[in-house]
Amino acid sequence: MKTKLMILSITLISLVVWNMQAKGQQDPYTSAMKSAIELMEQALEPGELAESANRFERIATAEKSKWMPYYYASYSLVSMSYDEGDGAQRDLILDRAQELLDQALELEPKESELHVLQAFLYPSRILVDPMGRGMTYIEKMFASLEKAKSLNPENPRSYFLEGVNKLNLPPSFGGGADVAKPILEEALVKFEAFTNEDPLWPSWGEKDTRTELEKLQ
Amino acid sequence: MRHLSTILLILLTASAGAQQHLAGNIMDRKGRPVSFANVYLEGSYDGCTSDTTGAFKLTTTLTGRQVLVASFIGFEKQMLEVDLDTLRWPVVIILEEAVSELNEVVITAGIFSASDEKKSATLSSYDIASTASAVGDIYGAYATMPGSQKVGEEGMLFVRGGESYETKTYMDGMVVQSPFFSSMPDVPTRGRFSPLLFSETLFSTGGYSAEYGHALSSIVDLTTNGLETEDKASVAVMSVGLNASWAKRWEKSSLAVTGLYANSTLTHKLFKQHVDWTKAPVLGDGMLMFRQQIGENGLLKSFGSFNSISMGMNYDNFEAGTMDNMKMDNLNFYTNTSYTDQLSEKWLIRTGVAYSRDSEKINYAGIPVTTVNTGASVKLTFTHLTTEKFKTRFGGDFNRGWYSQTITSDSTISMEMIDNLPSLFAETEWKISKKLALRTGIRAEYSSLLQEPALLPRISAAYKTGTYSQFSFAWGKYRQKPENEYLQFAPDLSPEKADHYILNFQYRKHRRTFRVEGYLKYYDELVKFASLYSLVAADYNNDGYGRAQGIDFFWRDSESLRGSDYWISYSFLNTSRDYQDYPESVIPSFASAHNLSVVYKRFFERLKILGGITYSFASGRPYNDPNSPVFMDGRTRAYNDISLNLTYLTTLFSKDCIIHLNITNLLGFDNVFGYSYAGTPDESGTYPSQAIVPTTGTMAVLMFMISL
Repeated sequence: MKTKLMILSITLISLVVWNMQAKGQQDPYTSAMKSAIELMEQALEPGELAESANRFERIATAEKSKWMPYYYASYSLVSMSYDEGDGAQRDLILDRAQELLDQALELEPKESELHVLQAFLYPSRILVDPMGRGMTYIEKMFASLEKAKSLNPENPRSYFLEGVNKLNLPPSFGGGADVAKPILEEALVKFEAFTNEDPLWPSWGEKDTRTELEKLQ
Repeated sequence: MRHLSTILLILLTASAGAQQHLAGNIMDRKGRPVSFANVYLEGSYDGCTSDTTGAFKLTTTLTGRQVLVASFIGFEKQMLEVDLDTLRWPVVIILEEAVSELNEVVITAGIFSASDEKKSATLSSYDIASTASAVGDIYGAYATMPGSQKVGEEGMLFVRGGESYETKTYMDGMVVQSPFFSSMPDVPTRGRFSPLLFSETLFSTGGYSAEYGHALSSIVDLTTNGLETEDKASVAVMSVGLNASWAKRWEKSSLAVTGLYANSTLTHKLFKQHVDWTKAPVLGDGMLMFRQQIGENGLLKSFGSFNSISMGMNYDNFEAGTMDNMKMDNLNFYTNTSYTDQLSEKWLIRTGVAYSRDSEKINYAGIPVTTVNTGASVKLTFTHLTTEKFKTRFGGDFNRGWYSQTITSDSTISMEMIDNLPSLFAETEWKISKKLALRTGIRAEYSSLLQEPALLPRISAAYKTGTYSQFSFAWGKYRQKPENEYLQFAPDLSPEKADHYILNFQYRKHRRTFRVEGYLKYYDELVKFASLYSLVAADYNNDGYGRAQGIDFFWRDSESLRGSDYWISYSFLNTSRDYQDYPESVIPSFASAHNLSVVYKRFFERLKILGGITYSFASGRPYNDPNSPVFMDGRTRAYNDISLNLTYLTTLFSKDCIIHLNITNLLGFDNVFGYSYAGTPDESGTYPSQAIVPTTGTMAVLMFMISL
């Protein structure tokens, strides 16, 4: 009797445990992406970004039909490239980032976020050779932002990047604080309104928008 | 109870999964650790990143045979089959450095390219547009590259002891018949096309590929822009005229239109002219560019331009001792349509048609001369990407040229010629190893007029001697049909011939480039004549010959000085030729032994000004002094020029504006290009002389542009 009771309770316990696990455990894709996104967001040094880029690339090669792993892998590399001092090395990183972005664009050519990422990539190219590349890439960058806006006018990240880029451009190039501020304010409004069902959806930019706006106060 | 614990144990083990570890090291060829490499099992999420010592430790639940992948930026991806059930030893993976545009072996002999996309390029398209001495002219910018000689009264490219007609221009693969605006004697010309139209340009000073024909010394290959990136419109007011441009981008196509009106009247009033103008040059120019993307990789490009230029002067004919009234009107129409596509994974196609018509009316001292030059060409090229390391290109083109000239003086003389020029070429490019590349090509050419078929072999190779350095070599046979002005009187002439030998060394690290190139060029069958414009066919022959040898240096540094960029070109040329009406082989009048260009550009961030300055030097050029018994033994004084440009970027009424100032010959050097001598000696028995000088001393052009 005692044994039977024990077996029953054990079975019950294991059922409960199993059930808990099933609830808490997301599908492996979502959990792998979530942990990689977390690593990327908390990255403090280029090595951690390289690590997150690697993780996203691994997911991308296993899940060839999803654009997001390619997107995040590329995004990690672009973020990393801004810390790379050696121009030749930076170009290599950006070449890889562009390859990954192109793969994502092939899957989802009309995704606004991908064009925002393209616009985030170009300025890093410019910094390698500002005089030689400036003119061409500034034009390409603003064209990408326009494209991103036209595909989804509610995507706050296009406004954020436009604002930041205008802020960094000298007034003589059509930039400056006066031009940038209203754009960043618009970005903030869009960030506050922005929702997406997908928990993995890109969410970067809001904090930086606030920081930039605070600096402008 | 015992049973229970067994069950529990089984449960616990099952939930933890059967984890395995796989450890190892990643290093490069030289045994240096590769950190941050991505190591994973293919098709799974299981993987890790190598640490700073190159070590990795991978945890997986997979079992059995799997593919282990290691990849890192700048290296070739490595794949390794592993059996996870038996593998217990650390794995050592050696990564090979990937061949990228930066470290790839590339044939550079004779080539200077400007591109924003290709990293092997020496210049960017911005460099071409912003070189101070060039004043926005492509040829002017390439005149600051080593190998070209300064010939200030012409404005065209003279390359390595070659005449200006020995340089041919190609646009989107097809030869452009009249790439320069028409001009008058001793008035320098400019290229017809704005540098802003091209995403890529290439200047070859010799040893070029079998795809190019009908050029003895040099080619300039221009690739027009792809789809416009965005809608734009701008208007510019210049001290020399007006310019308006407009571009529209659709999803898969774009259209760009430009109109230009230029008039030199104001400039002539402000800057003293050494020419007695009766009509300042007036230019009207319209350009249209249409692009259509077809399918995934196809691109159709259509280009059309129309321009008219007219001017008049009293030409100081010192030789005859007369002031001759001269007028010129030129109309030029050019159109070029090309299509490129990827037919399959292995096959690429490029095809195009071009048509041009250039009609020129010159009235020289009451004698009207009308010249009409019409050309049509079709071209088809295929590329087969046999392997990553081996590719073959082949194709052919057909050019048809109509030429007519009518001279009316006492009687009317009319000449007409039609020439059909078919050609075929094939070329293979083989990357034998990571260090060695070889390009072999052959070209077959024929002209219905000259009736002399030719097979022209061309070979070039490159060998990498280090990560940043390489040697290149090029050899080839070239020929070109004589200029129409001779052929019209003597249609039995043969093509002029040249052989090129080039050896080049290049060191390039990041954004510093050093190049040195030595060359030898042998000319044969150059056209000779008894007197210029002789109407007698027997007065012309192909008995001319010549040679050129020299060494070119180039140094560019875009890295060391913050915000600055500069390059230095130096060329040494040793040449002589017997051609035209020369009595013997001498250094020709357009050749100077030493040519130097220093180009410096800087962005002044605080002032928001982009500034550029160029210094050009050329040693004295030969001229023939009839007072001396030796032919061509005169030497002009050295040529010097300092040019400056400033571009100020600003906004007006929230529109982007550019104010641009370009000053040539800032310090007002008195340059002399040569001397004219009177046809008859004066009372003392000497022939009086007069210097051939630039049309103007210091000159400035101011532009204000606003983006709408």
